[in-house]
Amino acid sequence: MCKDQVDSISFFSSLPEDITFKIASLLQDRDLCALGSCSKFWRQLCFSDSIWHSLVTNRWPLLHSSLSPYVKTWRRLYFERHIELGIRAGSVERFMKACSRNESLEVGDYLQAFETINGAMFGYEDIQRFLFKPQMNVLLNLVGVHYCIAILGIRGDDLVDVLRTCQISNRHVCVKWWKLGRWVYGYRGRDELLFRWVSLGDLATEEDGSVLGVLRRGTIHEVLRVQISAVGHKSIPWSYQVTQRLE
Amino acid sequence: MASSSSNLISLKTSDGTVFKVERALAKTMKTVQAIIEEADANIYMIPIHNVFSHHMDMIIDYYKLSVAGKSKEFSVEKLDNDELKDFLLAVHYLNMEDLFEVLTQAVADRLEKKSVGYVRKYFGIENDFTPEEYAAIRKKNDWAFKGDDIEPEEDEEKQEE
Repeated sequence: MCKDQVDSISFFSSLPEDITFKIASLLQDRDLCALGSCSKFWRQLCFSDSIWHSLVTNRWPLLHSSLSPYVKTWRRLYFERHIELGIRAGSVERFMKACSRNESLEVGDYLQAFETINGAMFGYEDIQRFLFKPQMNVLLNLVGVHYCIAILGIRGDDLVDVLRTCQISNRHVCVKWWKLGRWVYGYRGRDELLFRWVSLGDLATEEDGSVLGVLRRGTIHEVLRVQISAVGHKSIPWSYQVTQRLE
Repeated sequence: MASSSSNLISLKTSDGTVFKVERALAKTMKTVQAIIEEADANIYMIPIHNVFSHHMDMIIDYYKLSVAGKSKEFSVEKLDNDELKDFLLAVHYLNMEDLFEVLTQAVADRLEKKSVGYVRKYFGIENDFTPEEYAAIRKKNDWAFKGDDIEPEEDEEKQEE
């Protein structure tokens, strides 16, 4: 759409200040920086600290209350926290990659990755920006989905919509777990291998939360081992086999 | 036609058209409401400057949708930037909270994920930075553009001087 510029008055210069401020306050960080790079007037408006204050409180409502009153601009704080979370996500990604064998991850490592995200107190927007990228390993997406459901309490259609927007809702994982064979008439039975093949979207809407329950509990009681794989991995390493033996 | 005895308020736009609107709609216009309350006698006709009849049409559309619980269906997509700006100014003058939120959000949405060059051109913002100043700003804000599909400078060369 070509704009006829009859006079040189720009779209914004004839808007009263309260309107222009309001519009700037509705922008996300990226668009605010873009607008602030347009001209001196816009730089001054878009990088004013009060606008960044509301960006901080919107994205990290809990952070606000835990701040000590030392001198730092809200803009600086937003920038530093954003970068820090990005670095944290990057290190989790590298960790998971290093621990994976043949696209599969043991639950102990998975839970450690989960705890790293949890410990940094990622917010919903942070998860979307840093963990829900389609070009990342699906196991990292999985950590994000699990975190949203278990920690942020976001599930169901809301979460599925976001997964679709991020183009990851159809990515699949396979969760396998080995249960200790039961004792029957003095004999220990074979260990059971159970598995579930689910999409991230399915996980978000799962009624009983059984798959996430398996992940959350890890190896405990009768569960000997839990392994999560990116789907596509065909062979199931059966390295844990206990044969029958007499008591 | 005395406005206080009926439920309709007469509003006259700057292009001379008279709209008879429900009192409830007039109440959403704080400016109009103030005029009504301040008047000692009944007002027959309230002039609304800066508001044209096509603005009133859209305001009435929005009102009808929001009364039916369908305010999300209201769209200003068909308006170009100047039309949107004029409408925003009209709504701002009338001091209509909800519609003001909708329109400012519409402007913000038009800016979403656009390159700097695009924003400048689209909204007619003149670049008054020296190349050095501009380079410094871009470097400082580079972090915000990481992970973009569109390069922030994509439309820079199309920008008019």
